[in-house]
Amino acid sequence: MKTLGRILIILLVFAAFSALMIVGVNASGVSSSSFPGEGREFRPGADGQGFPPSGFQPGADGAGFRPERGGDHDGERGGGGVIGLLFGAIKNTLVIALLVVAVVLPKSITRKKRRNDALTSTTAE
Amino acid sequence: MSEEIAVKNTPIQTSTKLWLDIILFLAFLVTMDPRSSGIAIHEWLSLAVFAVLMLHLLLSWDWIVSVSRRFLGKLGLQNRLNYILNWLLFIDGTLLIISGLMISRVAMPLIGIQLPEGFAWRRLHDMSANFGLIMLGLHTALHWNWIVNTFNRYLIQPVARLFTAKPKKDAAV
Repeated sequence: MKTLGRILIILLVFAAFSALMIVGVNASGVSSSSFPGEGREFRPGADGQGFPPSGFQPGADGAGFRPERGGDHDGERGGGGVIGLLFGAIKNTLVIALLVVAVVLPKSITRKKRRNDALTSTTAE
Repeated sequence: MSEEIAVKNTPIQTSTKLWLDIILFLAFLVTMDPRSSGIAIHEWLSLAVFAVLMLHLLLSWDWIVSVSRRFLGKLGLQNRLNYILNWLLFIDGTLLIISGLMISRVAMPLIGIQLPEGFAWRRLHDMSANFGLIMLGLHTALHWNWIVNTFNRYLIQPVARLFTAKPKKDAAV
């Protein structure tokens, strides 16, 4: 029962932050596309000039006009496989390791220095 | 003098937390690279990570409650920093999940929810993921002593004991 209550509290806080974020993004009016030009359809001139470029030959099925979804152009599908995953993991682990070293190393040096100072002061006495 | 928080966990709780954290870390590494893992794995694994994160929070509940009570009073700098960082991590995680759900291509459509893909949510998802990586690095750094000690006690020492323990026959002789 206690655990259930705690889960409920976590979910409530999560929901509250989520609601704030959704309201914030919607209120700022940037939830819709903000790519310059995106959303507006390209139309050739009234005389039909400008698109497609001269010399462009679409395939017989017309597929030449549009890249297929799910291909390399789609961004996030099956790019690197296991090797890519490994490289990505190594890169992210390195970033985390760098941050750990940047925080832990100065702390341990200061602690060591303080301990040495204390030792030298007691031997001097 | 600042007051330090000492929360006593049972060995089972501590080892469970260690294994959960190892799983979370590995899952985080996989979800951080959707190009390689594929979008379906990225989305479902991220939702699973959310559930495991809940367990992680439940196991740290006593610490959260005691620091929340003393935050405005006497509290050590490390605990205070940790507390603020953990809240930032939680807010960033919330943004990561919400923006991920907003641009979902597999999980949300599967349950029948189709959302128009907004560029802002996508940008927020990328930004919060990068910010989350930095926050995770800082979170790891602030808990480094705990990680080293727990790793040593619950992983390295038991394995080392397996190799150094004398066989029973020798002990009897």
